[in-house]
Amino acid sequence: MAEKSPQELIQIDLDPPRRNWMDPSVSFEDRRGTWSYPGVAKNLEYMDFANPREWSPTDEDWKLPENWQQIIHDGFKERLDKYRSLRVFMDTCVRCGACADKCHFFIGSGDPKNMPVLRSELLRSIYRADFTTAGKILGAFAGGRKLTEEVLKEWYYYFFQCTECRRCSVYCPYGIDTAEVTMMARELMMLVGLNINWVVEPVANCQRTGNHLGIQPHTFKDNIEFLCEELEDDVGIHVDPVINKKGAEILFIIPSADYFADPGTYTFVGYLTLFQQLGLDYTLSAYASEGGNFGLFTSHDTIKKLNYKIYHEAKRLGVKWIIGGECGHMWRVMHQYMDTMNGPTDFLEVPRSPITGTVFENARSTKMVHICEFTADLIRNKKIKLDASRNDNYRVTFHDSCNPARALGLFDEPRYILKNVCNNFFEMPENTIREHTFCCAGGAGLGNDENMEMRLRGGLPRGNALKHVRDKHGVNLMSCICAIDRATLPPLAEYWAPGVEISGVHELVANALVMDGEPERTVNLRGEPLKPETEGTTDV
Amino acid sequence: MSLNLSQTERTKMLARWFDRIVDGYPAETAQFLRDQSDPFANPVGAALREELTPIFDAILDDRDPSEVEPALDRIVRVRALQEMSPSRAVSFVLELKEIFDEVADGPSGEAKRIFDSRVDQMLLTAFNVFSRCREQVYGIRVKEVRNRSLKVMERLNSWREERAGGPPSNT
Repeated sequence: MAEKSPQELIQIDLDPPRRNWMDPSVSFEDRRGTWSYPGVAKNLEYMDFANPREWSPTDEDWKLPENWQQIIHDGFKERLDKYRSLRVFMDTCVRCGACADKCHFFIGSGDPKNMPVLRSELLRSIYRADFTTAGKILGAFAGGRKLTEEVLKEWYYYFFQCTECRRCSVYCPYGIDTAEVTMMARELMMLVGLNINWVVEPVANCQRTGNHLGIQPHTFKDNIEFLCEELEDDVGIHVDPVINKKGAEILFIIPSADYFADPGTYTFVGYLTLFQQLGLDYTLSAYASEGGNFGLFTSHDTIKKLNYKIYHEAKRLGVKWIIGGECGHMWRVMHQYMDTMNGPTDFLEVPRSPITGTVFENARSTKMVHICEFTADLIRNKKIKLDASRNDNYRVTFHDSCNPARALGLFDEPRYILKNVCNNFFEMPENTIREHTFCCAGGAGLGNDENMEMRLRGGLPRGNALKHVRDKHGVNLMSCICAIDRATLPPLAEYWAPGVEISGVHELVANALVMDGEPERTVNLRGEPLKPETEGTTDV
Repeated sequence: MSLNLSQTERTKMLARWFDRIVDGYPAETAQFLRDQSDPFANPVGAALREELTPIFDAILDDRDPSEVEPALDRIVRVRALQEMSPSRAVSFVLELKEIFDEVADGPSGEAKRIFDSRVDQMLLTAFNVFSRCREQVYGIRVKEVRNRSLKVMERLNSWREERAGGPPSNT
C-alpha cells in the first residue's frame, strides 16, 4: 500500500516568491500589522491638506484625485528645482550596496525592499522615467518605471516603513541622506492625500493647541501640577513649576509625552527637580508645549509652521535663551532646519549658564541648548551634589536616540551625566551605539499600535544588542533622550529583552540629586525603594 | 538511543540545514544572512549559526526538546514576526528529515524512523514557542492601547474627585 510519508503529507513550499523588485504589488490585507492607518479627514481638513476623505489601504479604490499622476509629476518637478539635494540624491546613487544591510527594518524583516537602496529606488525609478533622457527613451532598461496606482500604493507601504533614522546615510560613500528621500516621497504623497493618522493628527493638534496631544493650556497646567503633587506625595520632593512667566531668563521646551505618558513623566519631574534645586529662572510655555514636530514627517512647509511657535513664545515671554528637553526629532529640526526656516533671531542672547557662567558657543545661532549639555556642564563645574548610589538598583545602558545622535552629534554629554549619576553603566556593542545606533523602529509617525508587527521586526537589532548587555552585565535599565523612544522601547524590550525597563536621563539625575534641606530619600522617582530590601547581600 | 552519525555527516547536515533556512528568504536577503558574520549587524544569521547546533545535537542525543527551548526561541521569535505563514515559520525543523536522507550514508529503516520521530517532537516544541511568541505580540499590543487610555482615565478621575472635594461617598 502506497502510504504517504510525513514529508509528502506536509507539503510546504519553502521557496520564496521570486519577484523582480520592479513588481510593485503589495497586499495590504495580508500584511496587517505592518502599516499604519491613514489620516482621518477632519485632521486633513484642519490643516488644509489635500484630498480629505475616509479610506483604507485595504480598499481597492483609494479615492485619489482624477489627475493624481499629474499632481505628483508637477510636485516632483517643483521639488527637484527647489531642492538641489533631491536631484543629487536621485542622480548619484551607484547602488554600491553600502546602505543595504544597515536598515533595522531590513535586518528584522528580511524584506529586500526595506534595504535603503531599494526603498529609494522606488522613487528613483519614477525620477528616471519622468525626468532623465535615458529613462524617457529606454524606460525599464534604464531603471525607469511608470507611475501607476500600484507603484503609489507600494510607496505608501514602504515609505511609511522608514523611520527616517538616517543610519543608512552614515554608510553612504556619497552622503545620500535617505531620510530626505523618504521625506520627499511623503511630501509627494501628501499632495494626493496619502498620509497616516499617527502623523496628521499630532500635526493638526499641534497647530490647534501647540502640542501633539491636543492638550489645552488649562489642562497643561493641571497635568503638570498633578505630576508635581504626585512627586511630593510619593518621593517627598517639592517643586514649583513655572508656566508662562514673562521675563523669565530661559524658556524650557519639552516633548508633550513627557508630561503625559509614563515613563516620560519621571523624566519630566526630573527636569523640574533639577531646576528647583538650582533656583533656575525658567518658564514652561502652555502654548509652545511641544518640542516634537511631526511636520518633519509631513512636509517642509509644515515643519516651518509648527516650529515657529518656539521663537514666537520666546519673544512673547521675553526670555533670553532656550533650553530643550530630552526630545528626539526636535533636535533634528532645531539643528538642521530651525535656523534657516524661522531664525536667526535678533531678540535672544547667546546662551550662558547662569550657574556656571559657561557660554554655549555651539548654540550661538539657534540660542537653544540641549538639557544634557546644560546638566553635563553643571556636573563638570561641580555645581550639583550627586549620590549615585541612589541609582544602585539599576544596571544601566544608554540608547543613542537617532536624531540627537546622528543629527545633533550629542554622544558624550548624556554618557558623562549617566556615569556621574549611576555606579553601574555598561555600553552596548560598538556597532550599535553612537552614530551607528539602531532605531527604536517607532519614529517618524510609525509608533502606533496597528503597526506593532513592523515595529517589533525593526526593533530586533536594538533588542538584540540590549539582550546582549542584559545577559552579560545584568543590565535592567536602558536610558535614552527621546520621548518617542520612551514610548516605543518598552514593548520592544518586552519582546526582545524582557526584564529591561526604559528611562530618560534626567529621571536618573533627579534620583541622584542631593537637594538642600531634603528629607531622607527612601524611594526613587518611580516610588520604588532605593536599596534592595533583602539584607546581607552585596552588590555584585 | 543515540544515532551514530560521523563527524563529517553531522557537519554536512548542519551546513545544509543552515543553507536551506537561509535560502527560504529572497536572494538578496539570503546573501546577507550568509555573508555578514557580525552578530549585532546580522542577528538573524547569528541566531541560526549559534542555535541550530544545540537543537540538532538534542535530536541526535535523544534529549528532551524542552532542554533546547531557549535555542528554538531565539530562532522562532524572529520567524513569528516575519512575513510568513505559521506553518512556514516552524517548518525549518522538518527540513532535517530530508537532509538526513540526503546526507546519512544509507540509514537503516529503524534509524530513519527514530530520527523522524524526534524531529516531529522538536517541531511540536517549536510550535509551542511560536504560539507563545504570537500571544506575546498580541499581549503587547493590547497593553499599549490599554496603558494609553488607562493613564488618562486615572488622571481624569483623580481631578474630578479633587474638584468635587474628595471621592463620592455613596457607599
